[in-house]
Amino acid sequence: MRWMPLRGIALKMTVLVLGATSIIFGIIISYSYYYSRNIILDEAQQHALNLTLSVARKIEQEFRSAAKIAQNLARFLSNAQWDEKTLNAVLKALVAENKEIYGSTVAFEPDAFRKGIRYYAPYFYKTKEGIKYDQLGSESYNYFQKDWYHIPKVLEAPVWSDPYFDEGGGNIAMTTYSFPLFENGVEVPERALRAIITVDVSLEWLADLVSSVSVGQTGFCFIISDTGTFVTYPDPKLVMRESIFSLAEELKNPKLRETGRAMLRQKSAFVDMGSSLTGEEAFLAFARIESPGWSLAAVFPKQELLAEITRLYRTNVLLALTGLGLLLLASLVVAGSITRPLRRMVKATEQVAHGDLDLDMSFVRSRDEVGRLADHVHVGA
Amino acid sequence: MKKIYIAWALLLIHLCIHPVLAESPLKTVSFLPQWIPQAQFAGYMVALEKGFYRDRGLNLQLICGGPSKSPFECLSAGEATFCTNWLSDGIEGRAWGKKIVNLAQIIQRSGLLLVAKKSSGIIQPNDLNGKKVALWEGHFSIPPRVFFSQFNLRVKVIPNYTSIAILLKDGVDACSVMWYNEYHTILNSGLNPDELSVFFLSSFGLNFPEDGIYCLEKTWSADPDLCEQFVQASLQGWLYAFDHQDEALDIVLRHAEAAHTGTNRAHQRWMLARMKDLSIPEGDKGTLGKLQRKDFVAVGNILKEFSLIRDLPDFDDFYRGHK
Repeated sequence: MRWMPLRGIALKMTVLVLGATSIIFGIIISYSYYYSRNIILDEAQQHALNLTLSVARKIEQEFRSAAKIAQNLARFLSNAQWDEKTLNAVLKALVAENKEIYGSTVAFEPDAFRKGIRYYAPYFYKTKEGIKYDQLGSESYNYFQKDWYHIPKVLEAPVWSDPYFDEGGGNIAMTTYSFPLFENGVEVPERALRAIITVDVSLEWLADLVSSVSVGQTGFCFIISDTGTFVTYPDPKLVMRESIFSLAEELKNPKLRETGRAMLRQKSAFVDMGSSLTGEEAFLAFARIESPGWSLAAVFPKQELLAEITRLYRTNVLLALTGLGLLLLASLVVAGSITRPLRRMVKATEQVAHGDLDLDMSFVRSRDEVGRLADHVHVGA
Repeated sequence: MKKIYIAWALLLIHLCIHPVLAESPLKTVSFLPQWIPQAQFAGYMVALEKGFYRDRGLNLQLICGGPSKSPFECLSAGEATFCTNWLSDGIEGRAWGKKIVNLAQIIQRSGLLLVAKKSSGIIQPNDLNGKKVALWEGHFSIPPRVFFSQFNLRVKVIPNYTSIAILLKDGVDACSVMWYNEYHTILNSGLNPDELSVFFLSSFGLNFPEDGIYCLEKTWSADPDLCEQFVQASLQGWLYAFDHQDEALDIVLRHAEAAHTGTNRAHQRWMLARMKDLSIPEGDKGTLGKLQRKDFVAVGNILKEFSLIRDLPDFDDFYRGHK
């Protein structure tokens, strides 16, 4: 009997009020969560795209300036009078004066340097002991068959090589820019190849630059070449060994392969990677480095990106629960104060039913509906 | 007393099965695979690692192969006891007087193919007409050249020396590649199979089975059992590698790592799986290592047509393996 009132009107009122309030709270909190999440993601996307585009542009400038050096050398060799000595001096200076250029050569076609000379390729390159000189061509090093020579020759266009480790030169990651020099000047049709000019560009600066880009606390950047090979990556085991596609194959992850293909075909984009790259949910933004045709990516772990909003969400839920608790108390108090006189009246009317007509209704002091009901009961008795 | 007799009998049987083990110390032999350490040679690496050679009385020295080492020259110079090489190289060598013999033919179906980007408009063999095709030189170029003449194609052949960059960078429209190697590199450079046209030369009657095991004829004459033990241990290694791919890949990758070949597991996994396809094409393990007379004759006839040999060597002189 004691709990009767709670099962009565008070209970109904409390349940109704709490239920309705919970639903309203839920809607507000969820809406604000998704709304602010979208704002944060939009901002993150913009930031990520700007970041990758600006870093990619910076890297591209470095590559372009290295390419310029080879192009200028081609112009000089086409237009100026020069001899063996001048060529050597120019090459040596070129390697000495440019920090990123590890080595350079002008490799001539057979008989193109001088009648009767099959190989002529003076190569200047940096070593710890200073700049060294080698003649590249020999029967054991037939440079006509090397990609850096053969491919620009076939393509009749400049080519950036795939990145490679130079095992002779202290295991430095490098790429080579090859510029074909034609008989009748730099860009004249109906041309016969005269030589391939190369500059070897060390990629040490690239790794430094990429690792110095901060992508929040836990994000990171990496670069893939135009065949998807990792040029830089936080885990050095992948560099030059795995491509984004071989990694996708090992992880059995078609999503990663698709992302890799997009990186080689699109200028820039922002993709939800799921957990396909690092095992943690992440977004990836990328931008192409046009000049060698590589792609720079930045990986943003979702957990970090959404940390603030998750915290806010948790606080909101906590506040809502506290609020609901207080509301529960208040609701019980109010409902109790309303139903207490009613319960007394119920008791009093039971007395009347038993024939006791001496009713004292003075305990009902309120002047609301309950008070008026008490008055009427009193008068009726 | 009875028990002792049984023990003696068992021991005798044991000694008959493993005569080498019981009698003599290990015989030292060396082996040169014709190319860099990769899953193309998984069987030998696995056999070495699992002790299959040792079990057969051989102390094997595995030589690191590569472009700078010519297998038959290394045999002649005494730098290697055994080597692998292409069947066509073997026939040509023998036809020109090199005293070499084939002990086993590992690859039964040629893995050589022509691959083109569909975007260059090449869907059927006839589409190659007037196109630039990069071919490796030497024996690699024979099946493609026969293929071109079969279809009456005028093709601009560009020599290819090493990589497939020439195709990827659109220097040529098509390119010869090995199915187990460069084809997969193309896939893992971001091109999908449905973006590529592929012509398996073996499906156009140009089956040039590649890797077989060779030694000098005098090595064979002096100690046929030694050769037999080497071949059997190698075949055992291959079968083990096919059945235990992950373990085999660990072994292959260790060898590749030591040689700084810069490869990856996905690539070696593909290569090992394709080696299985090419070595036991019908799925019948019993044919592993056996050179078929018809393959020998087919390859020999094409070499003759190309005037690379005058006469086909005698099959039984050339092949000393199981028939």
